[in-house]
Amino acid sequence: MVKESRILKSRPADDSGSPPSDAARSVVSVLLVIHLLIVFVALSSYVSPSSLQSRLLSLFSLYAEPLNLNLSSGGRSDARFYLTRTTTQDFPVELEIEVQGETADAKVVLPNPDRSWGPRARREQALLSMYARFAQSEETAAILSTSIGAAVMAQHEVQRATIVCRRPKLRENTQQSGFMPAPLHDEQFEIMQHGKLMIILGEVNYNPIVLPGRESQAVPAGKSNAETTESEPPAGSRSSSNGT
Amino acid sequence: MIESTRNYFDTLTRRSGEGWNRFWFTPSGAMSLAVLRILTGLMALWLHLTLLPDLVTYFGPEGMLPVETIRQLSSDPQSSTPRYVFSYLTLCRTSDDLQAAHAIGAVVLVMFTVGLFSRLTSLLALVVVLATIHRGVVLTAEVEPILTMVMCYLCLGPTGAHLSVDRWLVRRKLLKEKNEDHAAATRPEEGPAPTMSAQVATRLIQVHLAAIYAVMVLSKLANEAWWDGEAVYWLTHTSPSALIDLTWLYAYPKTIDAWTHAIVLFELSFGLFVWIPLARPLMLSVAVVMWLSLALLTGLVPFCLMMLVANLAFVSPQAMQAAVAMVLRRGPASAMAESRA
Repeated sequence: MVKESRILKSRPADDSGSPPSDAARSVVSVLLVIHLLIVFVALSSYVSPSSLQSRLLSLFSLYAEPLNLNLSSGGRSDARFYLTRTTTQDFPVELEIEVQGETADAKVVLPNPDRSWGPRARREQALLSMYARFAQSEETAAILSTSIGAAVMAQHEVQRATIVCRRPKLRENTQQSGFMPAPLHDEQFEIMQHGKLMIILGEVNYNPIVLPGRESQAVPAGKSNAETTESEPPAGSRSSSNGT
Repeated sequence: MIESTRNYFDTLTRRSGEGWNRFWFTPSGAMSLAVLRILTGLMALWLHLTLLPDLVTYFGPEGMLPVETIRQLSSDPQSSTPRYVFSYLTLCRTSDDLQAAHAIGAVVLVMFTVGLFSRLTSLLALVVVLATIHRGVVLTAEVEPILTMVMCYLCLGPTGAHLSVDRWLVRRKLLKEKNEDHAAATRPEEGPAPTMSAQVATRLIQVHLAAIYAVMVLSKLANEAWWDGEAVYWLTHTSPSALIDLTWLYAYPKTIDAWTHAIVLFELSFGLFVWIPLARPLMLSVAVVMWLSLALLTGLVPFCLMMLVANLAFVSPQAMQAAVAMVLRRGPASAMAESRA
């Protein structure tokens, strides 16, 4: 205690202005230590948090989350400070939404090819990257796909859509062992595990809707329902884009 | 023996305390914070305005990211604490409400950038940026954590002390009251006395940024490609936003190796050597080259620019005053002499 008070009460060596009171410095010092501790926990949890770090993050979440101190926002942000991990996750994901209407069909491709860089392009990439991350699990695959699909369907005023999420393949490295990324224009794609979904908006009176390969299901009015279908290799290469 | 041990710990605690106080509480000027305010405000404004065309597409009543979707994505089954953070944009039920709220946010960011009611608008600008981030957290990437970090600490310092409308208003008032010489009253380098809050804000940005550099390099070194020199090759092939096509670099493996190791070496050394006054200008100069080259390579332009802006926290207020004076077409030597005086 004596040592601590000594630390906080010693005066700055070259204080040119009016020095703050010892009490003010002590309070600010304590706040700084607490804040820096939370920053340290939040930043050190970026790569792969241990159970202790996860608990501490949860403890500090009321402070760290609102201030966005957690670099990856708890895994909900596409913040790649490592830039590359040399896996398929590095690749930009492409989302192809095919809407089937009464009069005509349409195809929407995300990301919009007209946007090559800048904040708008990065937002699209982040969203699609999150889509791909959630598409790895059957439990979470439908969360983003239903909302994105529903938005595109509402835009085209249709009731049915198919979403295909895919990204370029790795190609075998001919010079060394292992795999290397193929150039993006090689047009060799793979569909993600839970990356192909059919979304059907409910009819007015809870009409049962038969989905391909599945039994009849009741869909509430105004809600969307997403079901995974078996992944199939895409026929052909990249399709033409309408953009959004 | 006991006496010498006690003396050692006495000296250790005393010197640690002096060092702590010198580091955090030595009053400093606010010119660096003012420049940071302007550049950070411009960056926030750029991100804010580029969201406008897609605002309704993402957050509108029939948008891609309804509030319920964000809530679902934020729910953590392993934690009892909800991770969803409130955003005022969730209160906007119609597209018009959303656009009006966004327009008000843009006005706040403009006020923050020009330094009007700086103390208040720095807080409000942070709220605007955080609200946008929390409303569409899945749209965020690398730039947002750096932006909010700098904006958060700018709230603590006197960011409107220089190069601001606030300062201009004060000078105009003084000019009227004292009837001073107009040229003397509008000197940009003259500002209020150094303050402790400016020092705390600057130091927090510096410490936090150095820690982020450490995280960047540690997360890179967890992957083999950053050790064996292949990472830049992967970036040339997997970055959809790359500003220039560098896939031809595959023919020059040594260049790819060297670039990869240079990135790692730079990030590893920045957090350490930037604290040494003699090495600081060198590190900041290398940072400019490195971040601009990364912008070309990855296309992450907002992120790379924001890192460059954040690095300015390491420029001393005196050097920043000289730079500002030079930009405003005054002699740097006279500005330095005045700042020393």
